[in-house]
Amino acid sequence: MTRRNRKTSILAAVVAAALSVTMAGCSSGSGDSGSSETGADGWSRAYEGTQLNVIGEATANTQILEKQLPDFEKKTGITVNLEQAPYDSLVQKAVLDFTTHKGNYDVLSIPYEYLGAFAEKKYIAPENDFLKGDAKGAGDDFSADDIIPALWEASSKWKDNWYGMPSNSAVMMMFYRKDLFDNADEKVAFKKKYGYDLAPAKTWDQYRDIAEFFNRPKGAEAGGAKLKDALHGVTVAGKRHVATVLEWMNYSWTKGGDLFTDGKPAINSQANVDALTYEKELTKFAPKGFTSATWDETTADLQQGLAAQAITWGDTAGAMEDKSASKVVGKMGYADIPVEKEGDKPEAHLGSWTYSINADSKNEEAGRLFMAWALSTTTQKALAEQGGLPALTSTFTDASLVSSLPYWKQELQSLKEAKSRPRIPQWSGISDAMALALSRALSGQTSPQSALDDAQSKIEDLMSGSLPVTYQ
Amino acid sequence: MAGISFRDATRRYAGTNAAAVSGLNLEIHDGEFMVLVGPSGCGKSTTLRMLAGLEEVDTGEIYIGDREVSQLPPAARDIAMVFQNYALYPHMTVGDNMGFALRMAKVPKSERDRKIQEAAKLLGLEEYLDRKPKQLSGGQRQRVAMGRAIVREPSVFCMDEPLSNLDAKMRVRTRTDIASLQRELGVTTVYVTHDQVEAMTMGDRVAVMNEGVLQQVDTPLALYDRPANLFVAGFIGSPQMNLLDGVIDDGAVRVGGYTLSGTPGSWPRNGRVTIGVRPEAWRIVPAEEDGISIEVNVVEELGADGFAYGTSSNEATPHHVIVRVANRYSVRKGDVLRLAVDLDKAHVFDTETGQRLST
Amino acid sequence: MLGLVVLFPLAYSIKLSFQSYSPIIPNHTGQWVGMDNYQRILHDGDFHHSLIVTAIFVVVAVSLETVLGVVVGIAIDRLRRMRRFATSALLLPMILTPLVVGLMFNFALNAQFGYLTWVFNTLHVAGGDGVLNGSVGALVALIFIDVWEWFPFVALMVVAGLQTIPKEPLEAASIDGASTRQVYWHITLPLLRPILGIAILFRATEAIREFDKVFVLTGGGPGSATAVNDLYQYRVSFLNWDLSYGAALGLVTFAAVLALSFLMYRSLRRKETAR
Repeated sequence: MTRRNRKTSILAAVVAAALSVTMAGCSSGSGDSGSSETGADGWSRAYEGTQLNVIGEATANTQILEKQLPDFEKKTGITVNLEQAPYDSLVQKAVLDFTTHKGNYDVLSIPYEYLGAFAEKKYIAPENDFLKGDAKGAGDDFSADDIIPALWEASSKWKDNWYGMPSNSAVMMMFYRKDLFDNADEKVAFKKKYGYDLAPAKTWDQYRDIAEFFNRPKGAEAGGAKLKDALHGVTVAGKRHVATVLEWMNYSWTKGGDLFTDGKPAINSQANVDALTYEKELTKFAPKGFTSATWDETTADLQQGLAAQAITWGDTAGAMEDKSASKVVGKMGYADIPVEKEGDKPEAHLGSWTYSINADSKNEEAGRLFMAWALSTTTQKALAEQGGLPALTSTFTDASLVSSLPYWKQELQSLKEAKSRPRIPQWSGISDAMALALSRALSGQTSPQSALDDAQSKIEDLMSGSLPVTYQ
Repeated sequence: MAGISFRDATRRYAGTNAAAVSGLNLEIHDGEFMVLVGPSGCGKSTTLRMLAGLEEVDTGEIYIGDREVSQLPPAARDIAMVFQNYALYPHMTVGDNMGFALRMAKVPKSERDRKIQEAAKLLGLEEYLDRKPKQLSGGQRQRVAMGRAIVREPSVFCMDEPLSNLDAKMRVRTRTDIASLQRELGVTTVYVTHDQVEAMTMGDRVAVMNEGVLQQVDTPLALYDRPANLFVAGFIGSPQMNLLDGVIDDGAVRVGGYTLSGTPGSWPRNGRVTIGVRPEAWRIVPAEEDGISIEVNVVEELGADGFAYGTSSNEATPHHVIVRVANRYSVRKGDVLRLAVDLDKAHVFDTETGQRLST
Repeated sequence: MLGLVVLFPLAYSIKLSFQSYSPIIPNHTGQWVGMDNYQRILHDGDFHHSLIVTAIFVVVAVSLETVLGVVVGIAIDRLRRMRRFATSALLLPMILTPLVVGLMFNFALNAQFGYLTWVFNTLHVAGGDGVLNGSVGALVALIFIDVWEWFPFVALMVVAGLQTIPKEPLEAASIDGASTRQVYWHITLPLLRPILGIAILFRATEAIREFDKVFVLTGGGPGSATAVNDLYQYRVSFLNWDLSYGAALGLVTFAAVLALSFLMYRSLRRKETAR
């Protein structure tokens, strides 16, 4: 070896050594358990330098959370790599990670209908001590009592274990064009035609009447102005997609139907058939593209002022009030979903996601801190202010938010009326069969009865060996 | 059956200076076998294709019978063509190939079959009717191509070097077949070839072309005996005619130091000429007589004939002088021969214009 | 190397198809179930339906592509000056990724403002609800898009094929009295048959596996009007997570496509040798 070569190789060795030392420091091996420094605000800095991989649904909530990440890094010294993916893709990535046991994702925001499946297969780790115990390492602005109990239980509890904290929640409610309803001329015309006062629908019959009333072509008058585009009485999700299933379940529940009765599939019950027939009726007043519409399209329709009513997701309310894109800022009203008979108890479909820790994760403790931070008052208030949906009672009752966000009161109200769909492992198959049946009936390919009959037999096949369903 | 007339027919390709066929005037008699011959690029194929309708006629006219056809599509001219590469329809049987034109003319099937059978018999193709071209030999395919033309009973046959792709033996045999077939059917035929032996043996008359221009049209023997210009003289006849630099000096015709004797023709008293002498026209004379001496380099013994190739010190002679020698082994390499020729057996051409001066 | 990449997944799929495995569904832990999955295929109405939809799609789309491709290919062959431009323009639909094509047409067929919607409405093919929302309209739209995307492939193969056809038989045909149209019909097209056969084989085996456009545009709907085979398998394997049933479906499709290709190839060879 020449002198020059030798110098180079020594230098290389030194650099390599230095690098490996620093790498070791940054590598995702866990440090010791929380006994070192704590920040001023109570957040533990024991896992400083860890890199967390988190994945969440590509919706408003997650996007807002991403903007808040620097706050977490400042508090705990943990860096977060946040990936966002649409529903189907996220589930596929999660399952892939779980089955290969690589632990690529530390924290996953999973849709609660998969909670049962993942819990039973032990893909995610129960966190009872942390969640229901001392929340060790979490800061001062986190309080477990503040999380809305019904929401927490629906999203994160399975059998006797708690698996995480609510990440996204969205509850369905009725959106309506308050400005049109308040218009004096419309009130008069409506009373004349239907014999009762125009008001946000409380029953399904009223909902239908109002849909018919406000279904008008381009050029007609509405609310005192000429319509530049046709106005539709409602907008409905009708694509062969889970969105359609979730919307329909509202009609079903309020008319006395459900997917399971006494633990057995009751898909083609009379109440369900009625609910589907009713929804098909409504589509007469829906925009022409409803058979390929999901929640994205219905949101766009409302936002662009093309529909007068909808049964849709509360977390799209922010889009309605978005000054940069919405044509209906300040014009939307938010109310309970109608019921069958006056006096019935309202119900609202709750969709919830939960943060969970990958059982193969090497950063379990850091992951817990992340969950707690996401549910801390600071983060949740920021979430609410930017149009997302929080999970804390205090945020919902915060005076400044109540006054600045027109939909705030209704959100809390609806959350209190929330009902969950089955969180059993066979959900994806059930949802698939239902999506097919509903889209076929709504597009007129088959009658509601025969569509639901088909779904009934399919779901019975799917559930064979797992009946009766005792826990969902 | 019809006569053909080319009147000032010209074909010029865009972007070229010289015309492919330039002002062609040619009359072909009804029932005649006319051969178009010449070197590559002389315009013979183009002429044929103009007649068939596969090439445009830029100026001039073409008559078949009394119809002017230069603007008509090929299908309307009542012509049948035999191609050099046969151009058979590869996906059809021999029978279908031959019957295709009749099918296009909507001839009823029974009559079609009858005509196909007739033609097949004539050409000895009966047992091949159900085969595809791929399964036939070159000679058989050629006969199918002929059959396809015959079946149509057209006014004119056009043949574009149909024998070029055959081997020598097949060529000789097929040559006589075609010639006798044509005599039997009596259809006006225009036949293109670059082979002057075919031209000489097959044609009633032969039209020699060079660089798009018609050089001479006459019966084969007339072309042989009285070529109208240097080109025809050099083209017709195998082995080639000897062409010697000559000069007329005060009435006397001299090749180098050799003055030709014999009856003079009507040519100017002075000037530069080219003297053409066929190999068989030389007389071998004793060394003392006036003539040209050659030293023999090569002797070609063809069996019935022999040709000696030699060089002469006379600077007016070409590189090789060719003389026919009758007897076997009478001449050997290295021999010196003394050659002389009579004026009336020689062909005198004006060197500058190439035109014939002898009568 | 290639064998490894192909054989291993194939062998694994075969093994999987005889088991009952799912990462989500309980009781599906990989136990051996023999022919159960294959028996299920026999009774699976959704699968049969998707086979019919796929068959309609393939037959109609490939036929239209072939006819249109031949017409356009011949037209291009007759061009002199515009020829290079035309062949380049023809390449465009083919080089777009199917996903991009799907998105383009999603926009163009939008019920409210899509510019193609008007075209379809005038042709009375769409229902009043917008092209993609009627069962017939949706399938017609998908076929239309596939033809748009792939007829250039056939056209270009035809152009190439026409180069290899000797010119003289065509001249002979016109001398024999055939009009231009007759020359194409009796001589050119029969001689193009081998090339067309290959083009059809290519397109058919591809069209059977159609996925991207359908996924983006209709998701298999409305209802199940456009549920092609590949989409069904995706649903089974990656939405319902019934991986072993999905493996069985995949193998059955693979076997069917293999058989089809073999038959087409054979009939092509037979026509060749008989010539």
